Amino acid sequence: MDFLINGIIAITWQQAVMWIVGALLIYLAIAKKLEPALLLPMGFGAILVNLPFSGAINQYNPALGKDVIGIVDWLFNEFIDVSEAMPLLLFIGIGAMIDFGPLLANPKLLFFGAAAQAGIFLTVILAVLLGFPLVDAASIGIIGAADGPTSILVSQILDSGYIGAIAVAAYSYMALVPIIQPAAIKMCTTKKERAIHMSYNPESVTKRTKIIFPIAVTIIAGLVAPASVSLVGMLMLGNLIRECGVLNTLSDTAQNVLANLITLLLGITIAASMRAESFVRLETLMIMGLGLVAFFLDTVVGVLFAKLLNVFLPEGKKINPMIGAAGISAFPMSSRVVQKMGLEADPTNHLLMHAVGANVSGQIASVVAGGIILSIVPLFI
Amino acid sequence: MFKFIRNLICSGATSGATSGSTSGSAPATSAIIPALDILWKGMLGIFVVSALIFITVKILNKINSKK
Repeated sequence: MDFLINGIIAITWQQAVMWIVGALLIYLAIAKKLEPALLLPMGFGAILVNLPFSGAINQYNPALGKDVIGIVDWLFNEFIDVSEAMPLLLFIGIGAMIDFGPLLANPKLLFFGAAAQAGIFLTVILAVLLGFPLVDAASIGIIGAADGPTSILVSQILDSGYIGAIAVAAYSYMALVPIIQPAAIKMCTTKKERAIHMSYNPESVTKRTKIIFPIAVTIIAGLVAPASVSLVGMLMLGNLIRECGVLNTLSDTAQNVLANLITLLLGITIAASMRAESFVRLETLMIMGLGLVAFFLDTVVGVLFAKLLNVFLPEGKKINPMIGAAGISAFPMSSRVVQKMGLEADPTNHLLMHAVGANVSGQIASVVAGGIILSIVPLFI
Repeated sequence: MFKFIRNLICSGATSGATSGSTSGSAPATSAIIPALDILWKGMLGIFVVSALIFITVKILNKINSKK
Protein backbone atom coordinates (compact mmCIF):
# COMPACT_ATOMS: atom_id res chain seq x y z
CA MET A 1 0.00 0.00 0.00
CA ASP A 2 3.08 2.22 0.25
CA PHE A 3 2.87 3.09 -3.44
CA LEU A 4 -0.38 4.96 -2.72
CA ILE A 5 1.18 7.37 -0.26
CA ASN A 6 4.74 7.67 -1.60
CA GLY A 7 3.80 10.82 -3.48
CA ILE A 8 2.07 12.38 -0.47
CA ILE A 9 4.90 11.77 1.98
CA ALA A 10 7.44 13.13 -0.50
CA ILE A 11 5.83 16.59 -0.67
CA THR A 12 8.19 19.37 0.36
CA TRP A 13 7.18 22.81 1.63
CA GLN A 14 8.89 24.36 -1.36
CA GLN A 15 6.65 22.39 -3.70
CA ALA A 16 3.61 23.52 -1.74
CA VAL A 17 4.78 27.13 -2.17
CA MET A 18 4.97 26.55 -5.91
CA TRP A 19 1.41 25.25 -5.94
CA ILE A 20 0.37 28.53 -4.37
CA VAL A 21 2.44 30.44 -6.93
CA GLY A 22 0.81 28.46 -9.71
CA ALA A 23 -2.64 29.09 -8.28
CA LEU A 24 -1.83 32.79 -7.99
CA LEU A 25 -0.79 32.98 -11.64
CA ILE A 26 -3.99 31.21 -12.65
CA TYR A 27 -6.01 33.62 -10.51
CA LEU A 28 -4.31 36.64 -12.07
CA ALA A 29 -4.97 35.20 -15.52
CA ILE A 30 -8.65 34.44 -15.02
CA ALA A 31 -9.93 36.88 -12.42
CA LYS A 32 -7.75 39.86 -13.26
CA LYS A 33 -7.27 39.02 -16.96
CA LEU A 34 -3.52 39.72 -16.75
CA GLU A 35 -1.86 38.16 -19.79
CA PRO A 36 -4.06 35.06 -19.50
CA ALA A 37 -2.58 33.40 -22.57
CA LEU A 38 0.76 33.07 -20.80
CA LEU A 39 0.06 33.18 -17.10
CA LEU A 40 -2.58 30.45 -17.12
CA PRO A 41 -0.43 27.73 -18.73
CA MET A 42 2.57 28.90 -16.69
CA GLY A 43 0.58 28.66 -13.49
CA PHE A 44 -0.79 25.25 -14.33
CA GLY A 45 2.63 24.08 -15.46
CA ALA A 46 4.12 25.24 -12.16
CA ILE A 47 1.73 22.89 -10.37
CA LEU A 48 2.44 20.03 -12.80
CA VAL A 49 6.21 20.10 -12.39
CA ASN A 50 6.07 20.48 -8.61
CA LEU A 51 4.14 17.35 -7.81
CA PRO A 52 6.44 14.70 -6.29
CA PHE A 53 7.80 12.27 -8.88
CA SER A 54 5.81 14.15 -11.52
CA GLY A 55 5.57 12.31 -14.84
CA ALA A 56 5.49 15.68 -16.59
CA ILE A 57 9.24 16.04 -16.07
CA ASN A 58 12.11 13.61 -16.58
CA GLN A 59 12.33 10.96 -13.87
CA TYR A 60 14.72 8.09 -13.38
CA ASN A 61 12.78 4.89 -12.93
CA PRO A 62 14.95 2.42 -10.98
CA ALA A 63 12.65 -0.50 -11.78
CA LEU A 64 12.99 0.15 -15.50
CA GLY A 65 16.60 1.20 -15.13
CA LYS A 66 16.21 4.24 -17.40
CA ASP A 67 15.12 7.85 -17.57
CA VAL A 68 11.48 8.35 -18.40
CA ILE A 69 11.09 11.50 -20.46
CA GLY A 70 8.50 13.99 -19.26
CA ILE A 71 6.61 16.13 -21.78
CA VAL A 72 7.41 19.47 -20.12
CA ASP A 73 11.13 18.75 -19.99
CA TRP A 74 11.04 17.43 -23.55
CA LEU A 75 9.34 20.59 -24.81
CA PHE A 76 11.87 22.73 -22.93
CA ASN A 77 14.90 20.76 -24.13
CA GLU A 78 13.85 20.59 -27.76
CA PHE A 79 12.20 23.96 -28.29
CA ILE A 80 13.99 26.28 -25.90
CA ASP A 81 17.24 24.77 -24.65
CA VAL A 82 18.59 23.43 -27.94
CA SER A 83 17.14 25.79 -30.48
CA GLU A 84 15.32 28.67 -28.77
CA ALA A 85 12.68 27.88 -31.39
CA MET A 86 9.57 28.80 -29.45
CA PRO A 87 10.28 32.45 -28.67
CA LEU A 88 11.70 32.96 -32.16
CA LEU A 89 8.68 31.43 -33.89
CA LEU A 90 6.41 33.51 -31.69
CA PHE A 91 8.15 36.59 -33.04
CA ILE A 92 6.90 35.75 -36.52
CA GLY A 93 3.37 35.99 -35.20
CA ILE A 94 4.12 39.20 -33.30
CA GLY A 95 5.70 40.78 -36.37
CA ALA A 96 2.63 39.91 -38.41
CA MET A 97 0.46 41.75 -35.88
CA ILE A 98 2.44 45.01 -35.90
CA ASP A 99 1.54 47.95 -38.12
CA PHE A 100 4.62 50.14 -38.41
CA GLY A 101 2.65 52.79 -40.32
CA PRO A 102 2.49 55.36 -37.46
CA LEU A 103 6.24 54.98 -36.96
CA LEU A 104 7.06 55.28 -40.66
CA ALA A 105 4.88 58.39 -40.84
CA ASN A 106 6.82 59.96 -37.97
CA PRO A 107 10.25 58.33 -37.93
CA LYS A 108 11.79 60.54 -35.25
CA LEU A 109 9.79 58.49 -32.76
CA LEU A 110 12.44 55.77 -33.27
CA PHE A 111 14.65 57.56 -30.78
CA PHE A 112 12.05 57.37 -28.02
CA GLY A 113 11.97 53.63 -28.43
CA ALA A 114 15.75 53.64 -28.09
CA ALA A 115 15.80 55.83 -24.99
CA ALA A 116 13.18 53.73 -23.21
CA GLN A 117 15.50 50.70 -23.23
CA ALA A 118 17.85 52.35 -20.74
CA GLY A 119 16.09 50.62 -17.87
CA ILE A 120 17.52 47.33 -19.12
CA PHE A 121 21.12 48.40 -18.73
CA LEU A 122 20.59 50.35 -15.52
CA THR A 123 18.99 47.26 -14.00
CA VAL A 124 21.98 45.19 -15.05
CA ILE A 125 24.13 47.52 -12.95
CA LEU A 126 21.72 47.27 -10.00
CA ALA A 127 21.65 43.48 -10.23
CA VAL A 128 25.44 43.37 -10.25
CA LEU A 129 25.53 45.62 -7.18
CA LEU A 130 23.15 43.21 -5.46
CA GLY A 131 25.60 40.40 -6.06
CA PHE A 132 24.26 38.65 -9.15
CA PRO A 133 26.93 37.39 -11.57
CA LEU A 134 27.07 39.39 -14.79
CA VAL A 135 25.33 36.73 -16.87
CA ASP A 136 22.39 36.56 -14.51
CA ALA A 137 22.35 40.34 -14.09
CA ALA A 138 22.09 40.75 -17.87
CA SER A 139 19.30 38.17 -17.99
CA ILE A 140 17.46 40.03 -15.23
CA GLY A 141 18.03 43.40 -16.88
CA ILE A 142 16.41 42.22 -20.11
CA ILE A 143 13.10 42.05 -18.25
CA GLY A 144 13.13 45.79 -18.95
CA ALA A 145 12.75 45.00 -22.65
CA ALA A 146 9.07 44.46 -21.72
CA ASP A 147 9.04 41.62 -24.18
CA GLY A 148 8.48 38.06 -23.02
CA PRO A 149 10.12 36.15 -25.88
CA THR A 150 13.20 38.39 -25.78
CA SER A 151 13.54 37.87 -22.04
CA ILE A 152 13.23 34.10 -22.38
CA LEU A 153 15.59 33.93 -25.33
CA VAL A 154 18.34 36.07 -23.80
CA SER A 155 18.23 34.33 -20.42
CA GLN A 156 18.28 30.93 -22.12
CA ILE A 157 21.23 31.71 -24.41
CA LEU A 158 23.16 33.24 -21.50
CA ASP A 159 22.33 30.10 -19.54
CA SER A 160 20.91 31.94 -16.58
CA GLY A 161 19.59 29.82 -13.74
CA TYR A 162 16.60 32.12 -13.30
CA ILE A 163 14.63 31.69 -16.52
CA GLY A 164 11.43 30.83 -14.66
CA ALA A 165 11.50 33.90 -12.42
CA ILE A 166 12.53 36.12 -15.34
CA ALA A 167 9.65 34.87 -17.51
CA VAL A 168 7.11 35.32 -14.71
CA ALA A 169 8.41 38.83 -14.00
CA ALA A 170 8.45 39.85 -17.67
CA TYR A 171 4.91 38.76 -18.44
CA SER A 172 3.44 39.91 -15.12
CA TYR A 173 4.86 43.41 -15.37
CA MET A 174 3.87 43.74 -19.02
CA ALA A 175 0.32 43.19 -17.87
CA LEU A 176 0.80 45.70 -15.03
CA VAL A 177 1.98 48.52 -17.30
CA PRO A 178 -1.32 50.42 -16.74
CA ILE A 179 -0.37 50.57 -13.05
CA ILE A 180 3.41 50.96 -13.21
CA GLN A 181 3.69 53.61 -15.91
CA PRO A 182 1.22 56.22 -14.61
CA ALA A 183 3.05 56.28 -11.28
CA ALA A 184 6.43 56.71 -12.96
CA ILE A 185 5.13 59.35 -15.37
CA LYS A 186 3.48 61.44 -12.64
CA MET A 187 6.68 61.26 -10.63
CA CYS A 188 8.68 63.09 -13.29
CA THR A 189 6.20 65.33 -15.09
CA THR A 190 3.88 68.17 -14.18
CA LYS A 191 0.27 68.42 -15.29
CA LYS A 192 1.28 71.28 -17.57
CA GLU A 193 3.86 69.06 -19.26
CA ARG A 194 1.36 66.23 -19.64
CA ALA A 195 -1.00 68.70 -21.32
CA ILE A 196 1.47 69.66 -24.06
CA HIS A 197 -0.22 69.38 -27.40
CA MET A 198 1.59 67.83 -30.33
CA SER A 199 0.44 68.38 -33.87
CA TYR A 200 0.17 65.31 -36.03
CA ASN A 201 1.68 65.87 -39.46
CA PRO A 202 2.38 62.42 -40.79
CA GLU A 203 4.58 61.85 -43.80
CA SER A 204 2.93 59.83 -46.48
CA VAL A 205 3.87 56.18 -46.31
CA THR A 206 3.61 54.04 -49.41
CA LYS A 207 3.15 50.31 -49.57
CA ARG A 208 6.62 50.02 -51.06
CA THR A 209 8.10 51.66 -47.98
CA LYS A 210 6.23 49.26 -45.73
CA ILE A 211 7.65 46.33 -47.71
CA ILE A 212 11.25 47.54 -47.80
CA PHE A 213 11.21 48.60 -44.12
CA PRO A 214 11.41 45.12 -42.51
CA ILE A 215 14.17 44.06 -44.90
CA ALA A 216 16.18 47.21 -44.20
CA VAL A 217 15.75 46.93 -40.42
CA THR A 218 16.95 43.33 -40.44
CA ILE A 219 20.07 44.21 -42.41
CA ILE A 220 20.88 47.29 -40.32
CA ALA A 221 20.34 45.61 -36.96
CA GLY A 222 22.16 42.49 -38.14
CA LEU A 223 25.24 44.41 -39.22
CA VAL A 224 25.48 46.36 -35.94
CA ALA A 225 24.49 43.52 -33.60
CA PRO A 226 24.79 40.17 -35.38
CA ALA A 227 23.43 38.26 -32.39
CA SER A 228 20.12 40.08 -32.91
CA VAL A 229 19.55 38.64 -36.40
CA SER A 230 17.38 35.76 -35.18
CA LEU A 231 15.25 38.05 -33.00
CA VAL A 232 14.93 40.94 -35.42
CA GLY A 233 14.80 38.65 -38.43
CA MET A 234 11.81 36.63 -37.21
CA LEU A 235 9.98 39.80 -36.15
CA MET A 236 10.57 41.41 -39.51
CA LEU A 237 9.74 38.24 -41.44
CA GLY A 238 6.33 38.28 -39.80
CA ASN A 239 5.92 41.93 -40.67
CA LEU A 240 6.97 41.37 -44.28
CA ILE A 241 4.45 38.55 -44.60
CA ARG A 242 1.81 41.01 -43.37
CA GLU A 243 2.81 43.94 -45.58
CA CYS A 244 3.62 42.19 -48.86
CA GLY A 245 -0.08 41.84 -49.68
CA VAL A 246 0.25 38.48 -51.41
CA LEU A 247 0.34 36.22 -48.38
CA ASN A 248 -2.87 37.11 -46.61
CA THR A 249 -3.61 33.56 -45.49
CA LEU A 250 -0.07 33.15 -44.14
CA SER A 251 -0.35 36.47 -42.38
CA ASP A 252 -3.63 35.43 -40.85
CA THR A 253 -2.12 32.09 -39.81
CA ALA A 254 0.91 33.78 -38.27
CA GLN A 255 -1.19 36.30 -36.33
CA ASN A 256 -3.68 33.78 -35.05
CA VAL A 257 -2.94 30.06 -35.26
CA LEU A 258 0.85 30.22 -34.99
CA ALA A 259 0.89 32.89 -32.30
CA ASN A 260 -1.77 31.17 -30.23
CA LEU A 261 -0.21 27.73 -30.59
CA ILE A 262 3.27 28.87 -29.62
CA THR A 263 1.91 30.99 -26.78
CA LEU A 264 0.04 27.99 -25.41
CA LEU A 265 3.08 25.72 -25.54
CA LEU A 266 5.51 28.40 -24.37
CA GLY A 267 3.61 28.98 -21.17
CA ILE A 268 3.66 25.36 -20.11
CA THR A 269 7.22 24.86 -21.35
CA ILE A 270 8.57 27.69 -19.23
CA ALA A 271 7.14 25.86 -16.25
CA ALA A 272 10.05 23.43 -16.64
CA SER A 273 12.20 26.15 -15.09
CA MET A 274 9.76 26.74 -12.25
CA ARG A 275 10.73 23.78 -10.16
CA ALA A 276 10.70 24.45 -6.44
CA GLU A 277 14.41 23.97 -5.91
CA SER A 278 15.27 26.68 -8.44
CA PHE A 279 12.32 29.04 -7.86
CA VAL A 280 11.75 29.13 -4.12
CA ARG A 281 14.69 31.21 -3.01
CA LEU A 282 15.49 34.75 -2.04
CA GLU A 283 16.89 35.53 -5.47
CA THR A 284 13.44 35.07 -7.02
CA LEU A 285 12.03 37.87 -4.88
CA MET A 286 15.02 40.03 -5.77
CA ILE A 287 14.42 39.34 -9.46
CA MET A 288 10.76 40.30 -9.14
CA GLY A 289 11.84 43.54 -7.49
CA LEU A 290 14.50 44.25 -10.10
CA GLY A 291 12.04 43.55 -12.90
CA LEU A 292 9.70 46.18 -11.49
CA VAL A 293 12.61 48.61 -11.22
CA ALA A 294 13.52 47.91 -14.86
CA PHE A 295 10.05 48.86 -16.06
CA PHE A 296 10.07 51.93 -13.85
CA LEU A 297 13.46 53.08 -15.10
CA ASP A 298 12.47 52.50 -18.74
CA THR A 299 9.56 54.88 -18.24
CA VAL A 300 11.53 57.48 -16.30
CA VAL A 301 14.43 57.60 -18.75
CA GLY A 302 12.06 57.77 -21.71
CA VAL A 303 10.27 60.73 -20.15
CA LEU A 304 13.52 62.46 -19.22
CA PHE A 305 14.81 61.99 -22.77
CA ALA A 306 11.76 63.79 -24.12
CA LYS A 307 12.23 66.57 -21.56
CA LEU A 308 15.88 66.90 -22.58
CA LEU A 309 14.86 67.34 -26.21
CA ASN A 310 12.35 70.00 -25.16
CA VAL A 311 15.23 72.12 -23.85
CA PHE A 312 16.32 72.61 -27.45
CA LEU A 313 12.91 72.84 -29.07
CA PRO A 314 11.02 76.12 -29.54
CA GLU A 315 7.61 76.79 -28.04
CA GLY A 316 4.90 75.30 -30.18
CA LYS A 317 7.12 72.38 -31.17
CA LYS A 318 7.64 70.87 -27.75
CA ILE A 319 7.22 67.14 -27.25
CA ASN A 320 4.80 65.82 -24.67
CA PRO A 321 7.19 63.99 -22.30
CA MET A 322 4.77 61.08 -21.96
CA ILE A 323 5.65 60.08 -25.52
CA GLY A 324 9.02 59.02 -24.11
CA ALA A 325 7.23 56.65 -21.75
CA ALA A 326 5.46 55.04 -24.70
CA GLY A 327 8.82 53.90 -26.03
CA ILE A 328 8.76 50.67 -24.06
CA SER A 329 7.83 47.53 -25.92
CA ALA A 330 4.57 46.81 -24.08
CA PHE A 331 2.25 47.27 -27.05
CA PRO A 332 -0.49 48.45 -27.03
CA MET A 333 -0.87 48.99 -23.29
CA SER A 334 1.74 51.71 -23.06
CA SER A 335 0.30 53.81 -25.87
CA ARG A 336 -3.17 53.53 -24.32
CA VAL A 337 -1.78 54.65 -20.96
CA VAL A 338 -0.24 57.74 -22.57
CA GLN A 339 -3.41 58.56 -24.52
CA LYS A 340 -5.49 58.24 -21.37
CA MET A 341 -3.17 60.38 -19.27
CA GLY A 342 -3.00 62.98 -22.02
CA LEU A 343 -6.80 63.24 -22.03
CA GLU A 344 -6.84 63.49 -18.24
CA ALA A 345 -4.46 66.45 -18.40
CA ASP A 346 -6.39 68.07 -21.25
CA PRO A 347 -9.53 66.52 -22.74
CA THR A 348 -8.60 67.89 -26.17
CA ASN A 349 -5.11 66.38 -26.16
CA HIS A 350 -5.02 63.28 -28.33
CA LEU A 351 -1.60 61.68 -28.27
CA LEU A 352 -2.50 58.22 -29.54
CA MET A 353 -0.81 58.26 -32.93
CA HIS A 354 2.42 59.65 -31.49
CA ALA A 355 2.27 57.14 -28.64
CA VAL A 356 1.63 54.22 -31.00
CA GLY A 357 4.58 55.26 -33.15
CA ALA A 358 6.87 55.36 -30.12
CA ASN A 359 5.42 52.10 -28.82
CA VAL A 360 6.13 50.14 -32.03
CA SER A 361 9.59 51.66 -32.21
CA GLY A 362 10.10 50.24 -28.73
CA GLN A 363 9.36 46.81 -30.11
CA ILE A 364 12.23 47.16 -32.56
CA ALA A 365 14.54 48.71 -29.97
CA SER A 366 13.82 46.00 -27.40
CA VAL A 367 14.83 43.15 -29.70
CA VAL A 368 17.90 45.12 -30.78
CA ALA A 369 18.71 45.57 -27.09
CA GLY A 370 18.40 41.83 -26.59
CA GLY A 371 20.75 41.21 -29.49
CA ILE A 372 23.24 43.74 -28.17
CA ILE A 373 23.18 42.12 -24.74
CA LEU A 374 23.89 38.77 -26.41
CA SER A 375 26.74 40.34 -28.40
CA ILE A 376 28.43 42.20 -25.54
CA VAL A 377 27.95 40.12 -22.39
CA PRO A 378 29.81 37.00 -23.60
CA LEU A 379 32.87 39.20 -24.13
CA PHE A 380 33.09 39.59 -20.37
CA ILE A 381 32.68 35.95 -19.45
CA MET B 1 40.80 52.97 -22.06
CA PHE B 2 37.82 50.67 -21.76
CA LYS B 3 39.68 47.93 -23.62
CA PHE B 4 42.54 48.31 -21.13
CA ILE B 5 40.15 48.04 -18.21
CA ARG B 6 38.39 45.10 -19.80
CA ASN B 7 41.67 43.31 -20.41
CA LEU B 8 42.59 43.98 -16.81
CA ILE B 9 39.32 42.50 -15.66
CA CYS B 10 39.44 39.51 -17.99
CA SER B 11 42.98 38.61 -17.00
CA GLY B 12 42.45 38.81 -13.29
CA ALA B 13 38.77 38.33 -12.66
CA THR B 14 37.26 35.21 -11.25
CA SER B 15 34.53 33.65 -13.29
CA GLY B 16 31.58 35.83 -12.50
CA ALA B 17 29.44 34.03 -14.98
CA THR B 18 28.37 30.99 -13.03
CA SER B 19 24.65 31.13 -12.78
CA GLY B 20 22.34 30.03 -10.05
CA SER B 21 23.46 31.88 -6.96
CA THR B 22 24.33 35.30 -5.72
CA SER B 23 27.82 35.78 -4.37
CA GLY B 24 29.62 38.10 -2.02
CA SER B 25 31.16 41.44 -2.74
CA ALA B 26 34.18 40.34 -4.84
CA PRO B 27 32.23 39.37 -7.98
CA ALA B 28 30.02 42.46 -7.58
CA THR B 29 33.06 44.71 -7.58
CA SER B 30 34.70 43.00 -10.53
CA ALA B 31 31.46 42.98 -12.53
CA ILE B 32 30.49 46.63 -12.04
CA ILE B 33 32.90 47.95 -14.65
CA PRO B 34 31.74 45.46 -17.28
CA ALA B 35 28.18 46.41 -16.38
CA LEU B 36 28.99 50.09 -16.96
CA ASP B 37 30.70 49.13 -20.19
CA ILE B 38 27.59 47.25 -21.26
CA LEU B 39 25.48 50.31 -20.38
CA TRP B 40 27.19 52.81 -22.64
CA LYS B 41 27.86 50.35 -25.43
CA GLY B 42 24.34 49.03 -25.30
CA MET B 43 22.71 52.47 -25.45
CA LEU B 44 25.13 53.59 -28.13
CA GLY B 45 24.35 50.50 -30.19
CA ILE B 46 20.60 51.01 -29.90
CA PHE B 47 20.85 54.67 -30.85
CA VAL B 48 23.15 53.91 -33.78
CA VAL B 49 20.68 51.33 -35.09
CA SER B 50 17.79 53.76 -34.55
CA ALA B 51 19.64 56.53 -36.37
CA LEU B 52 20.42 54.30 -39.33
CA ILE B 53 16.80 53.13 -39.50
CA PHE B 54 15.65 56.77 -39.23
CA ILE B 55 17.82 57.80 -42.16
CA THR B 56 16.63 54.81 -44.16
CA VAL B 57 12.98 55.59 -43.52
CA LYS B 58 13.46 59.24 -44.44
CA ILE B 59 15.09 58.23 -47.72
CA LEU B 60 12.39 55.64 -48.44
CA ASN B 61 9.63 58.15 -47.73
CA LYS B 62 11.27 60.70 -49.98
CA ILE B 63 11.92 58.31 -52.87
CA ASN B 64 8.55 56.60 -52.75
CA SER B 65 6.55 59.78 -52.37
CA LYS B 66 8.07 61.21 -55.52
CA LYS B 67 7.01 58.21 -57.61
